[in-house]
Amino acid sequence: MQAFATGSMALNRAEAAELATRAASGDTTAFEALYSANVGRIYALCLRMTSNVAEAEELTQEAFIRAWQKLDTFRGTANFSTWMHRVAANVVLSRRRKYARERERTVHQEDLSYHASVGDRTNRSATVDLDEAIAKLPERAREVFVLYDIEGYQHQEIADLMGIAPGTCKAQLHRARQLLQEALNHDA
Amino acid sequence: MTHDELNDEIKNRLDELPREIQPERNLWSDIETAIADSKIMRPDFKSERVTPPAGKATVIERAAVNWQRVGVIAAAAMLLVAFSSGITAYLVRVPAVPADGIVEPQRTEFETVAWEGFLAAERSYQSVTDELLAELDAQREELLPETVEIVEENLRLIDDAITRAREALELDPANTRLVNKLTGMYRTKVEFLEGMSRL
Repeated sequence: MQAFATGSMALNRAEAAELATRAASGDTTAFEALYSANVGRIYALCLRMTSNVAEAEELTQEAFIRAWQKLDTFRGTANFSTWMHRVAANVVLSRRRKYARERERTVHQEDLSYHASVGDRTNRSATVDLDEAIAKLPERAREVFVLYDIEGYQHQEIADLMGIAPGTCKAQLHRARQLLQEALNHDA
Repeated sequence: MTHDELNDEIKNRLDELPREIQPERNLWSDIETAIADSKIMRPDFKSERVTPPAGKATVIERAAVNWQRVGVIAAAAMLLVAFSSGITAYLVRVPAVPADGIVEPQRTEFETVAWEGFLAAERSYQSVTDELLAELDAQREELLPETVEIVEENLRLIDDAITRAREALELDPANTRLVNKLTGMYRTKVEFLEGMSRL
């Protein structure tokens, strides 16, 4: 998975590792610093994977709570943000598998709160159109697209996370890109 | 279409897509409360048990006998928590604010009654926990310092979480989420103390 530059709260690898060590020994202040540095990316992942603000907020919280519980498994060999991202992706996918049946009943309902959230961003332009188009993708295609094209995961990683074959992952990505292209062409 | 063949337009837009989106509300406070709960540890009394000289009980064995009293008090505390849960259920039935935003006058009265009920339950709860803590304090000298340290740290964590939730609830007494959270914290405290009594 590729690493992206983080925002103003960015921590270097050594700082993050030190904070993680302190947090693992029970220091909530250190964990809050890790939260501040990572919440933007984790929330973006959750929001794009779910296209639902309330669900994304809840999943973000769950991801950080899960990370807190698993801090003793973080060895510092990877970037904390990469490890945290993987924890969040697992939380999102396992939660969504659990509630898959319920979601099928509402999958075609547009979540206006998501679009309101996206629309509030100052840089409203093509990126917002793309985010809106991503939100309208079928669920599995959207998840694969977000993980592969936005977050930089590889097909095998996504297949492992989602419990699907790599070939299925590639097919979903192909479908997502086609649908996005159609949507953007339609809007143009 | 492969990754390399990704449509240029989409690719360009992807490059401009923000990697970070800040949530519109503060998510940290709930996380902080949850992790405070999860930090609760269980002292491992059994691992500290040693073989006593003939005819003499170990510190831990003496403590175990004395802590039977704790079980009785914890059971009483459980009843109070059940009562608190009743208050929660009562608050859950608070009628929602109508779509037109006009709040019915009786809602304020309802809230007042519910809040007073909650305070009564809380007072009873605190009375029991005070007694329970006094019992623990009486045993303090007979417990291993490491055990005392763990117990005190756990109680401090629980009390901190209760204090924060209590302050928030005071500002928003009809917030059922907070009531549930607070009730859960009280329950955690009782379960912790109950766990001590079983050791």
